[in-house]
Amino acid sequence: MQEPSVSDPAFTLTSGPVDAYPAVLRALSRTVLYDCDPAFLAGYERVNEKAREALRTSMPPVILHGEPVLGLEAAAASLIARDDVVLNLASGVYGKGFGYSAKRYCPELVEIEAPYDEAIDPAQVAAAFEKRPNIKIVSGCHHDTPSGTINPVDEIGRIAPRAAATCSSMRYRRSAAWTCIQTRAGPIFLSPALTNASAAHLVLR
Amino acid sequence: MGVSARAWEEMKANPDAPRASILSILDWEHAWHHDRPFPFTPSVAEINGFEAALDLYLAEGPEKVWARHALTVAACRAGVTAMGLSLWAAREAIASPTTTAVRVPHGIDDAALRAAVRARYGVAFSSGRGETLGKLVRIGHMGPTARPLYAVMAVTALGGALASLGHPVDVGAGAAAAMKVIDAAQ
Repeated sequence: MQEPSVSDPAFTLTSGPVDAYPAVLRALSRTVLYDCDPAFLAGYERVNEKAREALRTSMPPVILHGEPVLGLEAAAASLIARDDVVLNLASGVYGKGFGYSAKRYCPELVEIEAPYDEAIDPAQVAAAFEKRPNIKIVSGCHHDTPSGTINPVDEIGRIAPRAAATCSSMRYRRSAAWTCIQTRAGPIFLSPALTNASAAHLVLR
Repeated sequence: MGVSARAWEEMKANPDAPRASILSILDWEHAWHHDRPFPFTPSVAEINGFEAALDLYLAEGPEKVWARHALTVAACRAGVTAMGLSLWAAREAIASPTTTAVRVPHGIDDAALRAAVRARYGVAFSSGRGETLGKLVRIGHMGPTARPLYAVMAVTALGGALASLGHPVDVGAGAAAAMKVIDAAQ
């Protein structure tokens, strides 16, 4: 089989993965410690504290070890109970995609769809709660990367708990932990984890 | 992943929430503490890389990081639109600060466009995905590339490649518009 001769691009200006900072690359090459070594255990706690500071949450975050989709799937599996009605907000490929995960865990998925060059209208979310007060979980995508668009999760988050006082609102921000930080919306639930090598530097976006 | 107190309560009250599974969040509740075991072996090297990324982010300061992204994306949007091209987002108010999605002009093949950008200038852009595949190209402003001058590179590479495919645009106007945004922020 002939080896393809394709050289690397000089500049990767993609929407991820992208190059990592030299300091991150150097850290990735550090000696790999035994995971039960006291030095690693202390370091793991320290990293969690730094992640908590970055996310501006009051409690330590959870670092899941895998591609960010792991965090999304885990969120669906862990939060959605068998009788829950889920409202999924789809204004792009990622938002729509979460609905397929969510549907595996609930009997009924209500969906609001917007054109993929648009954003979700919070008024539509409020209307959905009027019509279906038993909606338990709201899922939405803050940054729908395949469209390069942003959804108004702050406004949506304010509507959801008001409309159903006992509801559990879930928001996830695909592939962009920094956006979790940016909005500071009193998060109920944020993901994804930034745990794989390509994602380790995404926190700097 | 940030988990609020209420989210922990909801998960604990959910009899279907996974335990002893790669999908379990509950199993990791106390794993951050040095005296508590991990449910399974964490990715040691990636934790090291993650810490370095967090150190950079916290040292620069979140507000400064966001401002740097905002300036980079503003320069890029200005350059793209000054060349007569359209952003994919229906309104600039909903356009991402980390990805500039540009609508592919009528009659241009997006794969050919990205190939020309790469072959002529050594620059890689992203395609669309799923429903948006073929309709847009994406310029990322992420990690080390979230620096304003990369916007000038992206705009000129995009414009030059379009011209090579028979869709002439004013690359100079694009570069000037991007530079104007950058210089106005100095």
